[in-house]
Amino acid sequence: MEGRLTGPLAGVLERGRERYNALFAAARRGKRSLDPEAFSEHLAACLDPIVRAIHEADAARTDPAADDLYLLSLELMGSGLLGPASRSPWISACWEELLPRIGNLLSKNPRGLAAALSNAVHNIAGEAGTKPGEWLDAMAALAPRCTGEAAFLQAGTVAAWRCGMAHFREAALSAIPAMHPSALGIALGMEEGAPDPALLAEALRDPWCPPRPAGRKTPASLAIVARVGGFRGFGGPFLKPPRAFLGGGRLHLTDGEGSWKVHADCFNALLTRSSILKADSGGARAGNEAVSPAGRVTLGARSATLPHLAGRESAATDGHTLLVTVPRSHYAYIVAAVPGEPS
Amino acid sequence: MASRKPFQKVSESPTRPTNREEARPFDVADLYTGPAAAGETEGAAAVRLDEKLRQAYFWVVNHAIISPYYDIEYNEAPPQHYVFGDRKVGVNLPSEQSYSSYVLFPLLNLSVRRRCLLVGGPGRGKTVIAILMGVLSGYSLRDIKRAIQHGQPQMTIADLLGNPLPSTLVSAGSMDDVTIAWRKWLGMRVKIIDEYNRIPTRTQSALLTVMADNYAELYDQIFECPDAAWYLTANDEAGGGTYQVIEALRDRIDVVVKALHFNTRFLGDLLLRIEEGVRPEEIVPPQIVFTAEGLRRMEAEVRRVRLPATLRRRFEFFAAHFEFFEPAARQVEYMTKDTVKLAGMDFHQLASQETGKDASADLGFQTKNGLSVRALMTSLVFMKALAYFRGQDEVTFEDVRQSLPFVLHDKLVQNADAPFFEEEGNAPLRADHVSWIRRLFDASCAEYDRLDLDRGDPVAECDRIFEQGLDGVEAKEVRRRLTDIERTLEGWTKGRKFYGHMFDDILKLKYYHQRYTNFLRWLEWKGG
Repeated sequence: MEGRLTGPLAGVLERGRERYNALFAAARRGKRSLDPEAFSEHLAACLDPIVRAIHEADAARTDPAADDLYLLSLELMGSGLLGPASRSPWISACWEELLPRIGNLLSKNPRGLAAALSNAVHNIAGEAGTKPGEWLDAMAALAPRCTGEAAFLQAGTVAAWRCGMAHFREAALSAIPAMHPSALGIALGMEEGAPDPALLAEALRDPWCPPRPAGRKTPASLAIVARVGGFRGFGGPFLKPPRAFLGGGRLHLTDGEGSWKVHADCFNALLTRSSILKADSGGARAGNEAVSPAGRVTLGARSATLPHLAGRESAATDGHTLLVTVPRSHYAYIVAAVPGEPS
Repeated sequence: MASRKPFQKVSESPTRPTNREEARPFDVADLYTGPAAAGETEGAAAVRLDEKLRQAYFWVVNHAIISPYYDIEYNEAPPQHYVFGDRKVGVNLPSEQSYSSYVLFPLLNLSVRRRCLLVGGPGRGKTVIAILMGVLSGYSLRDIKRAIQHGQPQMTIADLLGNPLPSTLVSAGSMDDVTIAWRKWLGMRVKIIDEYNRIPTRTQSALLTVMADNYAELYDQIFECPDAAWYLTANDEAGGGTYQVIEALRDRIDVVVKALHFNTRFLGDLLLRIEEGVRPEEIVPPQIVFTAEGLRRMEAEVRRVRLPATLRRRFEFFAAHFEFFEPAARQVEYMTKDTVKLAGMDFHQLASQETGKDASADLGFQTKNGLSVRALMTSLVFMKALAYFRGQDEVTFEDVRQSLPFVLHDKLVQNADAPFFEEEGNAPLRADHVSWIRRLFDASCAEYDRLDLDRGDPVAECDRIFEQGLDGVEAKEVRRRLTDIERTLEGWTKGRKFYGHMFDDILKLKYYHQRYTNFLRWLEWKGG
């Protein structure tokens, strides 16, 4: 299978020819879908550039790195997560677009880092409203600015938050102070430089204030900024129309069977499973006072009439965000102060 | 089995799901975890080591060693039971996750870094499983193969330990100046001695020092060995072979595992391996390879597994049966099988003097020795290791029952002439030591339950009171306790035979009686 290769990977495969053929044969015993042609194609088109990049960074690491990545390729292709027939195109994109550009970092821990990045882009792509392509671009740009794998992955967490992983908000904000300004700028999607410290401080307080100048707009009126949830039969999480509540100081939804924490900010809105089923005392009253039966919404100093929320079933607020459910809907609505265009 | 799965496939977590599993809290490290396994999995966001140990077990049984046996049976509900043939051979279908001892115990041995003997006929994979344990410990296949010590009749101490450098031998002014080129295997975390019963007796003695005391000595030079898991192989478990294995060396073996036969229904798997050129030890998945630090941490975690007091008591009761030997002496303290052995007397001749006891019911009749401190400690370690492997933080009854036969396999010397083995159906237990020891434990537990010792154990009550300390205890209370002990002993003299389990109880009550007597004397002296 190494006939089409000429670079360092070809040498590695030639030296371990029997072993690599045995590994492929063994893997194929359990996964008949593991196509020799497709795997050869993967080696030539995908793994070869990665191994070349590692070889350029540290030639002594070529053999063990190629070995690790060959094994990982077999596992991922055997599981249908890599290669031409992949059901996860973003993992393939990661191997084709990102890994060949981070040879220096990859040379030190090829399997661990390749697996971590494959998993991350897979996880990001699995959430609605995220931007896995932007995350891959950010990671490629971050690599030369990070001193090691730990810093690289930490920057990746910040980038993942910006690309829609709203539940990483707190982890990202806590990682920001330790980041180099230029890396921070890339992670937050700015052309160059670091964000304005004042904006950053505001972002720490207000989830709807983006910590980057590009998103800076004057605050305007309240609006429905996102809709989360859905019926389980159609791919959502809820068996029954959910109810909103404030539990442990955080916005939650429950359908009576399970509970979900609501993560919503300027980058995205999504749900994660929660073990909290009990509402904080006083939470229900505050929520109901924030939305009148006629759909009049009050959040802080701002008010607005949102007809869509008339007849609200339940509501909860944490002071920045209002979560509202309406009868006969498996969705919940998120209301926040949306920045408007500069006046 | 293996024919349906790729060799590199590692079982997904959890490998032993329980109802106690709770929803995992959010962890920011989850961003980087998913379907692609990272390989090195002992960091902060890694799978637990017990889970990794189970993944290693399932990889070995599914892909490496064709061992389709489940002789370590666990049941959460009564198992389906079938009986075959005139001899009523029973076969259980376990209702809980069960294991193959041949793979499980070498892995447990790795987790607690002890000494495992693999026995069985040639070509049954004894050396292969030892090599796999070396690879699972992070060594390359090349290194581990080079480190195997192959027992052979011409093996010298120098072959085993190393050589003095000739140049230093010539120039040395004293023994301290001699430099030794120590053999590399001495410094490894996994040590493999192939066919140890083919090593000459003198070289066995040098091996004993390394195994027992963890150092090697040549020309007054010492090499301190790291803690290691040992794997020894032998074709003949009775210690035969080219040379008789010295008893001290045999005694250092912590656990004995028997290589079972090859099930011919799995010949297809062998054929595939030949056709595809697959050697499992060459393709061990990196996710199940342990680092030195991981192994050290795993051993510490095993030690933290709790042994409930009720189980410890059952094990004490079981162990108490064997050392006592009434005909050995006049004074009770010396009534042990060890007394007979040290005197060089004929055990069977003395055993025939035992009178009045039911020789079939008295478990002590079935052995020629008792359990040493080393055997007791090893038993405790392996029952904890088995519980740890199953993801528990506490040892269960079945963990004790399943681990003891493999630990005590060579430790309890069977008295094959005991009347018990003449009874119908018991003759095969002369050869099948695993079933024999398991049956001994079951019989001991039945006796324990019959005596209702969980609820009425006078010695345990004495323990509880004594552990409260003697500070502030008045003479009147001490006299009351002395009376209680005397009354208990008096009660035992009536109508009961002197069985092994009573031996340690009587000696312990004598111990308490002496402690209280001395204390009372001191109180009386102090009070003037």
